Amino acid sequence: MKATDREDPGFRIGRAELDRWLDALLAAGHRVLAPQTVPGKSFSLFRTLAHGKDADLRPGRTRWSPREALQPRSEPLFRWETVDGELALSDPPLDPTPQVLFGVRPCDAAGLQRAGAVLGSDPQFAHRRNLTTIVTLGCDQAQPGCFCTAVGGSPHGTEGSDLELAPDGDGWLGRALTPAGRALLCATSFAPATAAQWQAAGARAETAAAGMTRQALPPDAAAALEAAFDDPHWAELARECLGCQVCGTVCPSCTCFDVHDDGGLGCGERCRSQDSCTQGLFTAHATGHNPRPTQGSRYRQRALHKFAFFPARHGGASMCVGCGRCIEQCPVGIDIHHVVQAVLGAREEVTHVGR
Amino acid sequence: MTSSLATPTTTTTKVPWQPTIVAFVCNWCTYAGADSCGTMRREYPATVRLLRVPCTGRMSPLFVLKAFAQGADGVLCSGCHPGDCHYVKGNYHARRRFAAMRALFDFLGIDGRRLHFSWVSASEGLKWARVVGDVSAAVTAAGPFPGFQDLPPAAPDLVLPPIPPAPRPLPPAAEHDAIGEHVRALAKQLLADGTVATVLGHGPGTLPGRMVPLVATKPEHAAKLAWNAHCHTNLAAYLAGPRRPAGRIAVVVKACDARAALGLVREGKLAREDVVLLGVSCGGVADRTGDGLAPKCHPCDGELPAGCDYTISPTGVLPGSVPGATKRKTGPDPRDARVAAIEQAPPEARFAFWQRQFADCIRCNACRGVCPSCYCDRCIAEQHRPQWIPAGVDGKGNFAWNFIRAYHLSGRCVGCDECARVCPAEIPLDLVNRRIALEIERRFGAETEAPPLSTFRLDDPQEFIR
Repeated sequence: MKATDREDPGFRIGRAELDRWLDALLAAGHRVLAPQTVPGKSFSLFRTLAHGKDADLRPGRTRWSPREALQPRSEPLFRWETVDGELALSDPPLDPTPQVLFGVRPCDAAGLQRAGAVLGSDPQFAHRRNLTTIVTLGCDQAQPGCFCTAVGGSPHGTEGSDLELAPDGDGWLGRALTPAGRALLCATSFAPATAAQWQAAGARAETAAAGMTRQALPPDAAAALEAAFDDPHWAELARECLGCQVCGTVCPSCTCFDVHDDGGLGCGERCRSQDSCTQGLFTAHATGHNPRPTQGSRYRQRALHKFAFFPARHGGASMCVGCGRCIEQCPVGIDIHHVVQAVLGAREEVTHVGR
Repeated sequence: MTSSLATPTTTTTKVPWQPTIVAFVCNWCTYAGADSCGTMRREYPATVRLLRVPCTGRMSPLFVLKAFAQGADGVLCSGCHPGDCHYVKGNYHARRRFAAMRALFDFLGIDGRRLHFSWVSASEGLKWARVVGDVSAAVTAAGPFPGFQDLPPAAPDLVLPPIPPAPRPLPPAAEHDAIGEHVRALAKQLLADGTVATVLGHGPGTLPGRMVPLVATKPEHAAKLAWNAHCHTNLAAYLAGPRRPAGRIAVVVKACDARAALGLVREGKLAREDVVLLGVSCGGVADRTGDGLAPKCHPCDGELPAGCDYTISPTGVLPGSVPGATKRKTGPDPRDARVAAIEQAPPEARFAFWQRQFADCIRCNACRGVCPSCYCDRCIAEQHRPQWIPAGVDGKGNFAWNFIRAYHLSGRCVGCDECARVCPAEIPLDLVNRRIALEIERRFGAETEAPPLSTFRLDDPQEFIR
């Protein structure tokens, strides 16, 4: 649905109003996470906001996704303690503070939805998700790695969004999409936006979409990829893969974790920490056997989980939302979109020197 | 985030505060020395907990890391005097490792007053009492160790000096194109005549301006190879372990990459005859902006180390490493001024600086992945029995990981700075590596036949050992 088709005219705010709005949310007891420039670095990250003015809403995305706000990289599952010879177990405390993820790009919001499809029934993830309101910020510029349009997304997509913002010159157009989104607006009185403004914003989104030249995946991609499980190209395509896990750690939709104990004498915690299928230990058995013995088979798992297994289980959409971070951050420039297209045969005969 | 080590809710408060010092002592000397101290009824502060190790040569910085992570305020490592080792040379090896670990802990902000080393023989009970007294006083003065915590993000309290202007610009495109032409011709020839099964080089990636590693196995693949200032990847990372393609391989190397490849030969990880080193007359690679010379290239004249098979310059291809073929104008190493700035800061500021840097570490292992010298089949970070490096992505785990990564590269790092380039959190890992490299160079000399921490000299300096 295009923005212009919607009935709610929404609102238009400038920077000063936006800052006041964020400050009001903070004053109301929300934890607000928004992109902020990291001191001394060339990138921004979602971080807890202290003042509305600190939010960095310029074009571009954060170095890694805001998934940490729902699924921390490490978290305790339970805690044990031996008191007078008796073992006592306790649940980790769950923070009851409502949080607002502000300025989430549409791809990331969609990615968090995908992560929720996998982890939604996990009590800790669900607790955080239920307390979280997501304010998305549409894009009017595509970054070099962006390909949301190739996987069914859009620069102004609203999947997973409670309230959408769209850049409009020196301000933003906004519109609540859910009751949770409307709740963020209850104490505000912003000037209404006009249909013409939304139309212009829609046109800018079209321009951003046109900036993404990567070919859309065919509708039968999931089945075709699964059928290509034994395709010899996998080994060649992943030949340069170093087996690090930067792709998984920056991804908005990767959810895999490892469980480990962290403890000392008499007390400790069972924790889960991020893990990634691209590294060898992920499937290694205690016997030494590894069902994914080669880097090619590991990389294939990542690609197929995103584009074949997830759609098959959860209906339709690929797990990959096209944010492009894995392409930009891969130390050796492996491009998941190219790999998938290559295996699908949508490109010229693949050689590993044929990028 | 996971809390750092879970602490019992039923702790007893120590009043007044006394430090907890973990002493790792050699079974044959210091342990017996401490025993004789007791036999002599000599008193010393009850602040040390002794842990017996078979030899200081068995001492690993992992022990020290673990001790600090578990709540120690100070650590003492003590063993036999040089020449007295029960295993002949264990303590000579230990002495070198101590120097590297001490420099690294100090640089990362673990106050020098917290980490001590001594030689105490079995008959030196009195010395043991004195050493413990001195160490205890030093650790008491340093105060309780704050622990590896997740410091909240804040503006850096330690500002690094800016990178000085580069001594030379990036080479002109014509020079790159000429080298690229020679690389393609040579690769094609080597593949066609069967000299090698694979040529590993650089070629365009899918993002604008991005160069990526390319594997060529047929003469026609060579056409995709190219050369420019964006050929960052140190391709020697593909030469050790299961990543290396089967058969003889030719690899395009810059001076730093060549040092890494020859380092693998030195460490027995690569048979020299299995690799053909195509040395390039490198004018330097681009910095983060893409337009300027990368900091690591300021001090590098581009000269290939002896031992390459070819020298590829804009004017042609010559056999061997040709001295003088690639000499470029150099400047001071920008990393050194930045290392010095960190060293000059007080330990608390250093500790806070690095804790904040490491707080952004997402443990993606890209630093390890791109490193040509990281080739272990199973990295220490993935060993579970015991779990030396905590798996948790938090203050404790991240410090341990970043410490041990750098320590394991002591005397082996070639300074290609690939780890720092690919770090998504832009942690200045190059400075950590550089700090150790400077320590190793100062103590043990610039070039050694064996990796400096795998060998020793009888007269290695030991001014820091009590």
